[in-house]
Amino acid sequence: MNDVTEDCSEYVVTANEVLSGNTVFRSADETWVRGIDGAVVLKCEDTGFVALGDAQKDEQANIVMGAYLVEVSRESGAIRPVHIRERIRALGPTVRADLAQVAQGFSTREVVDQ
Amino acid sequence: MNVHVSPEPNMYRYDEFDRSFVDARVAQFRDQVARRLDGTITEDEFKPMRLMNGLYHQLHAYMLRVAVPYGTMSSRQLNVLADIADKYDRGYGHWTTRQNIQYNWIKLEDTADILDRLAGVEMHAIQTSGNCIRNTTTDAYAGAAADELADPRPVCELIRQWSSLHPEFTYLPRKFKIAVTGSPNDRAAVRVHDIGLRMHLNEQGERGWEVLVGGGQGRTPMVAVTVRDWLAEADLLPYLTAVMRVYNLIGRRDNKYKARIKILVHEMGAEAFSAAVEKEFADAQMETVEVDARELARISSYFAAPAWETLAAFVPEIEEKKLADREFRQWLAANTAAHKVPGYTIVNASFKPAGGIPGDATSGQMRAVAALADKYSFGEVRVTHAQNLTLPHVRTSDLIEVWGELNSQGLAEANIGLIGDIISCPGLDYCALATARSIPVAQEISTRFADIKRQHDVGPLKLNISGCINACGHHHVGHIGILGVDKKGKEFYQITLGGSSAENASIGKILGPGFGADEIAGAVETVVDTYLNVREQGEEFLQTYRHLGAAPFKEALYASH
Repeated sequence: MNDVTEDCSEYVVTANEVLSGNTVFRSADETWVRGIDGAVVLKCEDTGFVALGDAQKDEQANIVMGAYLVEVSRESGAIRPVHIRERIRALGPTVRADLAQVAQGFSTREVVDQ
Repeated sequence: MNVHVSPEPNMYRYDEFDRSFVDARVAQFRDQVARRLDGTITEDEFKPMRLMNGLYHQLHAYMLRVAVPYGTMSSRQLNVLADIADKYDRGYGHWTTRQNIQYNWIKLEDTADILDRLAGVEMHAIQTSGNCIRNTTTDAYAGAAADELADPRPVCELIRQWSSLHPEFTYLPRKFKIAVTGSPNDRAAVRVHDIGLRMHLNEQGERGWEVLVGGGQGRTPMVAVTVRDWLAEADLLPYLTAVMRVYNLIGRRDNKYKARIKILVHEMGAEAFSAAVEKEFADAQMETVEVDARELARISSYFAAPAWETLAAFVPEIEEKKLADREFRQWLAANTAAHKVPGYTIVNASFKPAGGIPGDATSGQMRAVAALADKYSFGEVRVTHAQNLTLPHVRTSDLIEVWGELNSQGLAEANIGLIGDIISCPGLDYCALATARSIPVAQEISTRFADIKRQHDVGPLKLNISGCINACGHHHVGHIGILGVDKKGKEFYQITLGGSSAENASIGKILGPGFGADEIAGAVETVVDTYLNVREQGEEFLQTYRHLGAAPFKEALYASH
């Protein structure tokens, strides 16, 4: 019998900091980090929704706003959002490499190469 | 406490009411931010408050849109915009297609301080967002253009005063944009605004206004219809009030995509809409006409012409330089415009370098233009709706120096009105609503056409790019328009041809199936090459398209597919 969970997509929880407005991701120790590489990857949507519910407590505490799940994949070990909008949100902007999430070691090219 | 410093050029200056109004809004917003941060109010409650103060949340951060009333500002104000870019943002700002500036990396906790800094030089971010009457826009050459009938900015300021805090018009069905032109050559895109006003003179030389209603872009682009050929200036505010009342009363609020006045005009029919406005106008016969005339006279006094000198129109050194230096000649041809006073010239600073981000300005460039304005243009600067800056009153004899100084800042690309002068929204690189990126497309096209001689050979050509159907990049009215869409997670780009925001306004038509991100710049090049092959002597791109239609362009782009 197949293990259906093997076919599940992977997710990370994302939100924006209230103070800075910047994109942040939920980490394994239940804090928020700027780089997607620090995010905890959740197997299957159900698991993701549980984590999202937990993270939304931080919305009530005014730490973050607008938390939601983003589907990701692993590319050469790195966590990458599947959709271009989320890739740019996590890693961009693509037109200002100096302002992009280079601190996390991503190149601008990686943002849009799919 | 604000230290108020009035802008020095001949432009509107705050009275006590303006000053206390703007200061009160800063204090109010400071309190709202504090309550948001301490959890007294939620994001849902806070959002309409921040939007009323120009603060959006975009893809990466908060974005603050600051109003530049009708695109006019002083060098002192521009210097403050540069200071804000350095202190509170990341060293740059972005000129918008409605003559404003926006900052992309603002922190919530800084916003009240920024608004306070702006208030100190009579600026704010009110009416740059939300379902209100937005910042009125006008011709960037107002008060300077050789072809204008009169300076339209006093009327713009009158509309600003009338619309700010107007209790009837604070919660409209949707946002509402007004544009005004005092010239028969429309550089303010009045036909694609909710209300467009065109100045006319009657046989007695009296000023009156043609009122156009129901234009707009977005997902349902429309060209405005004329509801009044001639409106006496004294009747302007009562008539605008009548238009707004009809819209406010009958405009749809059940569907945001059908809530703009253009839908109302379309659904009622221009004749019925016009009749409803005329009835409201006649019934109400607002009592403020005389007051408005006095107020307009007071406002107009602020816009008195600068102390122009009596100068010779012909400057031999300039003519000699034109003959000797092709680059200067190209810059002069594209980036300057005729001034109403002999010996003066309107100069545009191009924020469209080949391969650059259209409309982005570093703080250094802002300060450089401010210094040029002080030295050469009576301290005045304009923001154009094409995302450039204008020095409206430069002595023709100073043009060589101004050209050199703009060149040293990377602001002398000789491409105004040419294919390199691309209007582009921020697109998916910054905008939360966008479905595709626009800036990289603009960069690739401007790189392909980096050869200025080639651009001049092509001639006047407006290329506009939007990253979604909301059309902030004005693609519907580009001679060539590009609309970015998301197709199954990939960026695709539709081409439209034949749009125009000028006095002969038209909405561009989709040419055919879209192109991938790696194909779109090549497709634009094919369109331009086709035009060069089929144009008749002296014909501009738009004329060729209107003359021949889409067929030759379709043939060139799709025949081999």
